[in-house]
Amino acid sequence: MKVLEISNLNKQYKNFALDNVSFSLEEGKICGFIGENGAGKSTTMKILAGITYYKEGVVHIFNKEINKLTNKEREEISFILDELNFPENIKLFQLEKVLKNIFKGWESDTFYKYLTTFGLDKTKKCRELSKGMKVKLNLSIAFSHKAKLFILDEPTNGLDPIARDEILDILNEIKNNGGSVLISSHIVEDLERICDQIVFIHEGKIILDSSKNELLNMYDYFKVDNVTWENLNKEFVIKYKRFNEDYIEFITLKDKYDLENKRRANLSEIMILIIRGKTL
Amino acid sequence: MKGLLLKEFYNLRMVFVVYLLVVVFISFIAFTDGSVISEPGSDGSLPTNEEMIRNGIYLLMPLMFIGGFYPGNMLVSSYSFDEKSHWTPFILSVGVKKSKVLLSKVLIHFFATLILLIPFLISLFIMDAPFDSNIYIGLILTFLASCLFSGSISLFMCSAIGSSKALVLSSIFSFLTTLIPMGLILIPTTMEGMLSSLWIFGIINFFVFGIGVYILFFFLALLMFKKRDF
Repeated sequence: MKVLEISNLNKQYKNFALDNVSFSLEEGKICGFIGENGAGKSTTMKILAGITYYKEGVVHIFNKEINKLTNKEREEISFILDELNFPENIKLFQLEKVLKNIFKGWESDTFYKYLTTFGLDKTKKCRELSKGMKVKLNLSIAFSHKAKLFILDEPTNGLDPIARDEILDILNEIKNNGGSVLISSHIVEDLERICDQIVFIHEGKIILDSSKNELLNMYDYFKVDNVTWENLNKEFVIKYKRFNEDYIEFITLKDKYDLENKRRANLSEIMILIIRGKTL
Repeated sequence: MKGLLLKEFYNLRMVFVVYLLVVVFISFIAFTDGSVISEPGSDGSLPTNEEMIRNGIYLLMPLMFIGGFYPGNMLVSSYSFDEKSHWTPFILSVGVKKSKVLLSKVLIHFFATLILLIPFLISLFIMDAPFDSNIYIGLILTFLASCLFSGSISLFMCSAIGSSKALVLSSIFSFLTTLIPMGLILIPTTMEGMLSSLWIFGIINFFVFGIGVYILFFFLALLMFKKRDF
């Protein structure tokens, strides 16, 4: 079952536009939403959150248009956007009292259980939390209103490797418990680790939507010296880029060349070469 | 709504403490100065009722200005806290309607206005003037009108231009929102035999500049808020 379906989403700004964005997310899967800064990831997610309007396109969550979701259905979605924050001067136990009166299905015990699990002190003020703690707080809140779909905009940005590892483990646990996750990130290594599906957006357009395993098995990456490059039959080169004075890197569809240093391209290499590489 | 109001309470606690101190200070001023309006003149004659009303209104004018400024200021502070913490995108993402968010600000403003009524009532009491109840009703309704008028403009400006610009402009507008209702209520004090109709002007102030303008600016604020992307 598709928990999320976006079809031909268009949104116009002065200097930027989302252009026929379409992709979907299956239940119980994690979808990585990647793209460079300003590509349209946050705009797409804000539209899903209902805080940015769109005129054209169809956005369905749980098979319903987002503006037709009931409050109960809305409570099954958790949005953890980059800018989401809480009143600075209120303490976590006070925040719990506020949220208890906002979410109908709120479970206080679950909230405090996760605060303990994540090592968050309920007497701390929101402004005293580090970035990693804020992400954990958001996740505690999401678990407490029984979210089934998690939409996270760059949750691991600015976190140290240990904190990132913790967050990724939590997201895996969500998936193992039947939840679905749409996560955007610049840290493609994180997405490679946990995602089932990768959607790549560039300048407001979706240029790639594939299962992660298929994608990582689709392209070969090469880094060759200038002489090898000059002598190469470049028929199968998709994109290339000068690595430094002495080397050129390029990608091809898999198994087109049988050069010595052939290996499958990772997500970062695919992303960089597709965006910044040149065609012949 | 309960959750939203609870959030406002937690956020604005310290602002409210300062606000209460201002209320106490104004009450003290009202208590010490209120009796002057019915004092005899230098020739020993007592002031007429019209003269007492005018003297009283000039005395009450600073109170009215503060009544216009401070509750509106609390409303702007509420917006400012929300902008700084990006609370509004969060609360909208969980399905709370924009009208409810705005209504929570309105309720805070109403609450702050009612609190400021206390020193105003003290002032009227202390003046100890031989006014009949119609006159008191007119003055109280005009005071409330001034507070609501100011708050409605603050509400609209915060929705339209954000809290930092709204704070400056609403402070300036507090003069107008005091002078206009006050000016209207001064009319019967200049016309012989019209004093007993002061309550009518109070009602006009309350329903036109208070309730009427508030409803208008609430819907304008809601329109601006609904069009906004976060």
